[in-house]
Amino acid sequence: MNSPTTRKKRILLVDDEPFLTSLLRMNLEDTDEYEVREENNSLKALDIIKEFVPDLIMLDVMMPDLDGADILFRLKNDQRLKHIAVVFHTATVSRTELSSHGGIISGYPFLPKPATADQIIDFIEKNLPNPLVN
Amino acid sequence: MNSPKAPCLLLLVPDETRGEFIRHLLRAAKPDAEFISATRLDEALRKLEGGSVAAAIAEGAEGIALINSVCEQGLDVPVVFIAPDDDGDLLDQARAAGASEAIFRSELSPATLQNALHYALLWRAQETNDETAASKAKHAEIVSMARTESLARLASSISHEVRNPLSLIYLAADFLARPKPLTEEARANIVGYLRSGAGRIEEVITSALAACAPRELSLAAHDANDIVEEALRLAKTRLRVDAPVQFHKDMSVGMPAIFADRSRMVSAIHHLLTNAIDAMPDGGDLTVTTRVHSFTSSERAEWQREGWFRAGDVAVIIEIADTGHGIPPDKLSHIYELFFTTKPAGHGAGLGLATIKKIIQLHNGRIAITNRPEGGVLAELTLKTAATQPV
Repeated sequence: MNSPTTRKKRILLVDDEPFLTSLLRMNLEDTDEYEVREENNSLKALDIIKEFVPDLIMLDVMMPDLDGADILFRLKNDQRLKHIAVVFHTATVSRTELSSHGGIISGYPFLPKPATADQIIDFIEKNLPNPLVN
Repeated sequence: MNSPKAPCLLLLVPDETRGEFIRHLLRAAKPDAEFISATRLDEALRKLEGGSVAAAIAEGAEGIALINSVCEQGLDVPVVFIAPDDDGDLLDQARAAGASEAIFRSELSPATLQNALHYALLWRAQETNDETAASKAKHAEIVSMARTESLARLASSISHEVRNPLSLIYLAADFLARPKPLTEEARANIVGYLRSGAGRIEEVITSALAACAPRELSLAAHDANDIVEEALRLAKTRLRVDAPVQFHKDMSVGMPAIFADRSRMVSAIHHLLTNAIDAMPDGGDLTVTTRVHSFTSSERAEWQREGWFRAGDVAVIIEIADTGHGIPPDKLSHIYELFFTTKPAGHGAGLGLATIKKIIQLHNGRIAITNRPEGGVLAELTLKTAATQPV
């Protein structure tokens, strides 16, 4: 659990499905472990990242305007932001397809949709930087 | 009959990370395909030399160079081109150079790649068929491949469309399962999310069942004007008193008969007319035109891709023009995708144009939907006449 001397882990959810990000945020915040922001407009994602400076970004792959790969490309080309952990949560890949890649595509962890809250929390915990970067 | 061999696809993308992401989408689009990659033109051309590549997917300036090289060397490989979103000129350049399909990066999805590759592979198979005197066995294989492709595309679309609402249901259930008491607001939200998820799954199932309806055609020679008149009679029942739509007809007489499944063709035209009426909620003008068109050799590239028309073919063209709100330009390339709709939620499952396109393709015809410069949409069907339609 979160001790008084450690801050909450900052998680940014970028997905064009507002209901999904709302439910994810509710589940994550309910643990008292996370400070969560959600963004459903991919064009605004980079601004939010700069302002919120999350410890981990959970990206959808297919979104209108900017897809997950485009956001990742811009993030990794920004010296101030390139250290931030990025994971993908997507419906474009099945659990079977992903297991043949060890859960990693192009060096980034993927979690297929649908996933339960516990699976998502496990996935986030495995991929958060340790210790957190302040 | 032999089952269709898994196609080998070549991916030419200079940036390796970006290439891996496109490959990831391709795996979802064509799970049965084999993939080979290249980051440079010379490497891509070497890999094409073996003749085992069925189609190529290429991005950026290297992609244009690949299309030019493929044309210059007479290689039998359709190329699907991907352009940056801010470079419409490059997209046009690719189309002019002979790209089988050209799409913007933001349009990339398993569904768009499936569509692009579907037509690229069919086109290639058809041309091969022409060169080998159109044997019946080969034709049957093409039809079989098309059916397999359609089924794979439908299955992929369904699984993708269901996974998102399933996520809502899982996460809503997980939140409810926690021991903390729920506020009234949270309870109302959760109920809304659950209903939304269940409703979306129901819509996907209903749409998929409609898309899987039997597709055997009952072909015969028909007067295109008769078919249009029947569709018009059906469409007029949709008119609203408070939103007057004026019908205008400009129908050529004495046109050659088209070879068509009458009920399917009436249904397709009826659906296009309904779309036109729905696009004019405040009223407007709906114009239906029929005419004859003879193809020349200069029209080959654009027309042969979807309709396989040749120089000398005589076609009947049916045009439906409305004065409605048109289609947003960024949505035009998605209109034939299964489950895509510009109508408000609950007013269309996004199967209409996908189904119409299927019907027209089964008739070896072509459909084009464009925004008219003066406003509204023009839907154009180009149909082979009975004399030129292969039986």
